[in-house]
Amino acid sequence: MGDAIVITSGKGGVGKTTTTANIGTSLALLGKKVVLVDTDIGLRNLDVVLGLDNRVIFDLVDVCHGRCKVNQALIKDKRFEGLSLLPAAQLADKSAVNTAQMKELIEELKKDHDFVLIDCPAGIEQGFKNAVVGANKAIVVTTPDPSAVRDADRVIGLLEQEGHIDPPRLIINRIRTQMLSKGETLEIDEITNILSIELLGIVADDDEVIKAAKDREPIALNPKNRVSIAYRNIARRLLGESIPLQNLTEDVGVFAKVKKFFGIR
Amino acid sequence: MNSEQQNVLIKGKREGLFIYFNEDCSYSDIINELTEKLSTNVFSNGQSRTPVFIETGHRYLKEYQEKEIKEIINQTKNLYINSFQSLVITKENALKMKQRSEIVREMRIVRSGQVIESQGDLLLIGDVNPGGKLVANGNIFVLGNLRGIAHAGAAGDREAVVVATNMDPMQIYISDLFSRAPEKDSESDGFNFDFAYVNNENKIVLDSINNLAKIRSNLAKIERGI
Repeated sequence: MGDAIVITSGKGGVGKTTTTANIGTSLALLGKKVVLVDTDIGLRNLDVVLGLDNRVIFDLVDVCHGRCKVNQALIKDKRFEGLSLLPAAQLADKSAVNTAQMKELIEELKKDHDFVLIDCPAGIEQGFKNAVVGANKAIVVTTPDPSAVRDADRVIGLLEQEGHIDPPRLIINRIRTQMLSKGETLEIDEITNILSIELLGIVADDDEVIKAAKDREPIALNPKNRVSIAYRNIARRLLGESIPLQNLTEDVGVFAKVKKFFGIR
Repeated sequence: MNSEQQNVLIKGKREGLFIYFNEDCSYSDIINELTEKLSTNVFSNGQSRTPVFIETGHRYLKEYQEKEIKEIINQTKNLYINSFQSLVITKENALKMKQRSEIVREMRIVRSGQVIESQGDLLLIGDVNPGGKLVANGNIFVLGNLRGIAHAGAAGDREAVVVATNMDPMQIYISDLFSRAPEKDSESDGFNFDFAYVNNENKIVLDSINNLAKIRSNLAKIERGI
């Protein structure tokens, strides 16, 4: 029986889908059996990020309505055995499935996978409820941006009310390292102070991510990039290893306050 | 009218006029006798206005009855109502009183979109994040950061206060008053362990916790609000 982890944020555009794809890839690289579930019905993206969009035949709505078996809808990744994708439907909306159907589906996927990563749509309506219902763990993604932090706070509040989910963990994504060093964005400990949940990882904002997206390959496949290393570290932390956070300010100089924070971790 | 037993007893004391009602007679008897007794000129002779203390004993008076009696007194020359005392209250009011003297304790983070309400005082051990809200009919005490919204004295008590270890609120309401960025009063050091209250000019201001005992000396008393 594997873990079902929902990846959510409240706000759109903070990198839920990128995070899902890269953590999934990293876990698969570590030899785990992983399935990614795209619950953003009507705005399907995860297949595009993974470069698997031309292989979609059946989707999540088909499975939930019994039009095909789960295994028929799963798309095996072209790069590894261990990674597969259950795409969202494009020609339907969030109300096409209900929470009971989603719960049953996730339970079934948990049986033969180590990790079920659920990519949650933006917002806190039906799509969010569908994504959360089957999960037993949660990752909240935010950026160093007050509105993203506010939405993350709201979502953490909603997740805490779900009795079946462990306390959510936080990923701070798209950190502009130059601006962070100059104190022009929210600092990491400012964000963790407000949200006060466990920090699972910090990910820099890097042009390589955009280049990788254009090539339809998750950045986690590139072993040298710092973003890739960040995602691989997150994957290893999910497996229970303790790995220190990256120092995102090393290429600009010494910044005592941030260093001190990293020193503690 | 029975002259042996008076239904309305009027006694003059140093503080003023004390009026006692018979507990067993009918309400109309009291009104009749009160009107009759006050109609004599005895009470309108003096120069100064005399305070009246009404003691209804174990008789329960409804709101309109209380109002009627107050009118009769106030219409009489040189008299005014000072207090209206009764030994009985309704169950409803008793329950309300009990709730208002209770302290609701919560230990968690109040996140954006969440609300905690209390009929009495509210003690929160944890932070209130931006967008989170506390509402209490009594006082609000936050052992943590107050970054959201706090509404003390929500049922109309302007004496209520908001206390927080770290005061950085979006908005503070006390009773019907509202403040976005509370003005700092004397000795307030960097919004640390401050409290918000309504000052004499009906404005919400912040002050250092050291002055709380001076400004709201009856805060710790149990019978507050009863």
